Amino acid sequence: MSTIAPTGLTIEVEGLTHLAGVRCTGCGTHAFPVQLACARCGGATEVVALPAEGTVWSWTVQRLAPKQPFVTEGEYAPFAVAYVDLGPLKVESVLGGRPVEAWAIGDRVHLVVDPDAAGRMYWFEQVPS
Amino acid sequence: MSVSIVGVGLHPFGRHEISGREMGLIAAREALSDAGIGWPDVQFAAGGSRDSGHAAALVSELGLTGAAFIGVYNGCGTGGSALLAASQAIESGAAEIALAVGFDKHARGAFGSNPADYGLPLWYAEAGMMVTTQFFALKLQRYLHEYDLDPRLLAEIAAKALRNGSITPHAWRRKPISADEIAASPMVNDPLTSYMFCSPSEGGAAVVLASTERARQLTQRSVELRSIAFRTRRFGTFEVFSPSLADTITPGVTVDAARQAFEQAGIGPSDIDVAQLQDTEAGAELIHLAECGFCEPGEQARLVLDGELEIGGRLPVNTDGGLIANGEPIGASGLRQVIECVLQLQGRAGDRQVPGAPRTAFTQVYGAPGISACTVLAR
Repeated sequence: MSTIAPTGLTIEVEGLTHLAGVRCTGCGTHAFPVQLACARCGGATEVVALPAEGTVWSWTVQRLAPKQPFVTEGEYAPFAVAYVDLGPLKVESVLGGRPVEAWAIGDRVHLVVDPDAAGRMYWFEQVPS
Repeated sequence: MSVSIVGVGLHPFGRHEISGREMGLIAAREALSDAGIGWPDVQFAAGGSRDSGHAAALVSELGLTGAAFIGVYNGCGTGGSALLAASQAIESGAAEIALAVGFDKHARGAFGSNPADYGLPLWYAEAGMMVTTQFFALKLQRYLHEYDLDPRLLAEIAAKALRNGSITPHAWRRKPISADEIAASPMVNDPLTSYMFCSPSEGGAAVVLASTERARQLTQRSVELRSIAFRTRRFGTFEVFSPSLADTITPGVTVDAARQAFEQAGIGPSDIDVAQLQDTEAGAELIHLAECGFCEPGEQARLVLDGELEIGGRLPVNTDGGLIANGEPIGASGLRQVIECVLQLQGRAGDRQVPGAPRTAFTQVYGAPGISACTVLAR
């Protein structure tokens, strides 16, 4: 049993929240967020729950506050951003729970979701070793 | 192709008191004068700007001759679009003489982008991920990791741009800055520091094209547009504004555009004497050197550290300081690259003239959301 959140961003499967992505019913290509047609072949897509764990594939730090419509609560604090390799695709995400300089390519990370957070509804944090 | 460049005009890049539109007008008039013709001789024009109004509205001050004038916009690649439209008008026989023009005047600070313009959800920008400088850093960080390249190369590339800019009258940044100082400037998006980026700026650029037959009647110093290739990204490439990337990353759009431009021109990267590459930041020049075929990925260290990219080196790149020294007025930037190559091929580049009378040149412009336009020029 799975339920897609009203935002379309996440999907709940057996009580666990995942990012909602799509898989092409024709060629199997994955994408995020949900889109109606496959970017590779134009075929129809079906919504799937994306893996909740992966590795940092590339990362940087956003040192300066982005322009509007960026949303932040209180004073701006630099944050790390990454492409997280989830296997069938890489998802762009903010990284949290750690000093921004500490990240390295290959770090294991897991999904954290907060649908009520201002602006940032998901991010990834380091998997405890 | 059977298209030649017979005139060029450039309003200096930087910060100016006049409007972007006026800079476009000045550049267009200069290009017409350089070609020894008037606006009534032009049958087709194409142009664009992001923030300074419709290019086609220039006709109210160029003259209401009734000439076709197409407005184009492709982000940072707008100059390439204008040149493509103008050159195809000539190749098709629709015009004998055509004008490509671009101009802009941007507010200070990095460009903001509206997610809806790119078919992206609002949360992508609200979360702080729709930032062009961030994309450049993410792509570069992975590239340096995969090919084991030293981030120090970025400071060296930016220092070269500012050195070249210091001897270029039309450049904005005219003060050389050492690689050490560039490396030590404030970090913007790791590994890129503030002095490694270009900034939005102001300027105008125009190019007059003619059929090669007509060009021979107009001038002794025309430069042949041997090819122009304009491509959008294919599946699997790593481009700006991508909430997700494919499982396997495929070569970037510039690889396709450069390959096509060289095939059409009938020469290869090793035949090129001078090149202008999109250096929105120092890492873009690093990556584009390989994507255009001037070296293998990872070989850039040798090109940079041995001085091969300097004026006087084996392959001078961004001889007028590129985007880093000129800033980026979006509509004009791609045409500035073409104009710099034309001046180099004609021996009119002054203090920054590449020695040895270069015969061939190459330009590459890159824009969101994954477009690339390349040209090969020859005299």
